[in-house]
Amino acid sequence: MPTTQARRRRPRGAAWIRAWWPSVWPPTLAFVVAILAWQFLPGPMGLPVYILPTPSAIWATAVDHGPEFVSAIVLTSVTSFAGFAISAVLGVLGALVMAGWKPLERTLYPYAIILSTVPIIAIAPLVVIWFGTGTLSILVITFIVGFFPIVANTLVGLQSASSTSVDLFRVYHASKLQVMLKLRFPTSLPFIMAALKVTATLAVIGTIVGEYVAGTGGGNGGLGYIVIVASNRLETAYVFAAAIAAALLGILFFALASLLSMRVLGSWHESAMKAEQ
Amino acid sequence: MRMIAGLTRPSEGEIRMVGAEGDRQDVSIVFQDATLLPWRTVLANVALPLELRHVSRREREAAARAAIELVGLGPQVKALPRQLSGGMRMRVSIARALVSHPPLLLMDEPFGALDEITRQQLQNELLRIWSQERCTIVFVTHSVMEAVFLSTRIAVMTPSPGRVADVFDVPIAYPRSDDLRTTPEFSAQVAAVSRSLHRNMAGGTPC
Repeated sequence: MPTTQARRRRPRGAAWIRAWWPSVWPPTLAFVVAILAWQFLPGPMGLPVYILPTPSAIWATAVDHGPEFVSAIVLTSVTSFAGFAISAVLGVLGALVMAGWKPLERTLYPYAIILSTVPIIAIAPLVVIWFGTGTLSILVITFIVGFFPIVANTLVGLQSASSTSVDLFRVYHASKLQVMLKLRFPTSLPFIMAALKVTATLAVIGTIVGEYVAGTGGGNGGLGYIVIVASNRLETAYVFAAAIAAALLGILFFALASLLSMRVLGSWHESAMKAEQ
Repeated sequence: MRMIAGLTRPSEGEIRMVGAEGDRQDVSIVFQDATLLPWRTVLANVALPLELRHVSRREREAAARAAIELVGLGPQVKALPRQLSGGMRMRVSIARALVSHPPLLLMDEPFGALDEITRQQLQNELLRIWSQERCTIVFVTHSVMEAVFLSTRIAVMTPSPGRVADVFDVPIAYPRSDDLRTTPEFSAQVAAVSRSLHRNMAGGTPC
């Protein structure tokens, strides 16, 4: 008996609102209450603006620093995206090469694991010593943050094809390259997508940590630079603005990675299909 | 089974196939797990053996469509494995095995994971397909009834080490229908094979 399509049609219009409303209004209400409390409580409580600025103060500061703030956001976004993209591409390629040549994999895999766990905070100053202050160091730091987790996860994915599937390919006299491209690589895609989602947010953190340590090398600073300079001057509202922008950037990156994951896996993998509902 | 398929090297002795050229055996295999690639459609899954041989897209898609029709899944050509039932996935696996028209088809307990009704349906289907393809089929099963229903010859094997203990001929004519399962002729054959099986199970090491 044929099974029915696994994907249900999403209810549209009024039905859609009714379906989503119960899970939407409680967090939204909590958010509104929190914002109002944050806006109106610090004053009467006597909290000075340099300890806890109100949302309106934060907004005002952001607008005041307009062009500088925007260019910082752009710089941090571009740097973290570039570092992330390079680490993703090289990470996957590196894993493919390692998987294709056992001796290489056995030599390097332990280091990939170890290096993916070292805190970037500890490595960042070393990178600045080697690559100088400025954008190159920041890119390298962002790259390191993403590269090793992606290599490690892709390798696991490449090894996770069932032995029956591999047998199948062998019976049909498939070459090693065919097995890699047509079986192992597609099997590793769910692992790669999962690693990308995690690494996307880590990349933003990496860039900001890099900006703390590497400064600007003479150009404009990113969000991390703003945080360091503004906190030194006790311009707390500006620090908040930069921090919130950074958090939103991280969320945006994660959302983009999730979207990519759904496009790539959507039609055939369980993890992407559950996300639809 | 694995040695015939070229997956394992024999530790001693040799395997000879009529019509095989040297080392390269043209053999297809169906496992108990349908082993379909979940990111490919039915059509692309069935075309896989030809794709691995670098057959042109047009040729292999035509051959795949023919194989899919043969197993009775024409409407599902563009479906993905996750949309199919267990029985349908097994049919796709069989279509894939037949797409290259191999002289020898290996089937390793292919219906073991299916419910009884689907299992009997597929046994009938297999006989129908075989009457058209006419390849040699080596079929491994734990079901004596399945063995007697499908085969021309049955080899009863001992548990490890696996040796051929007995060979039976099944002189029942094809085409065979479901009614056969309740005839005395069938029961007698099943009884004979079962006796041999139990005799030889007792002598070996426990599973």
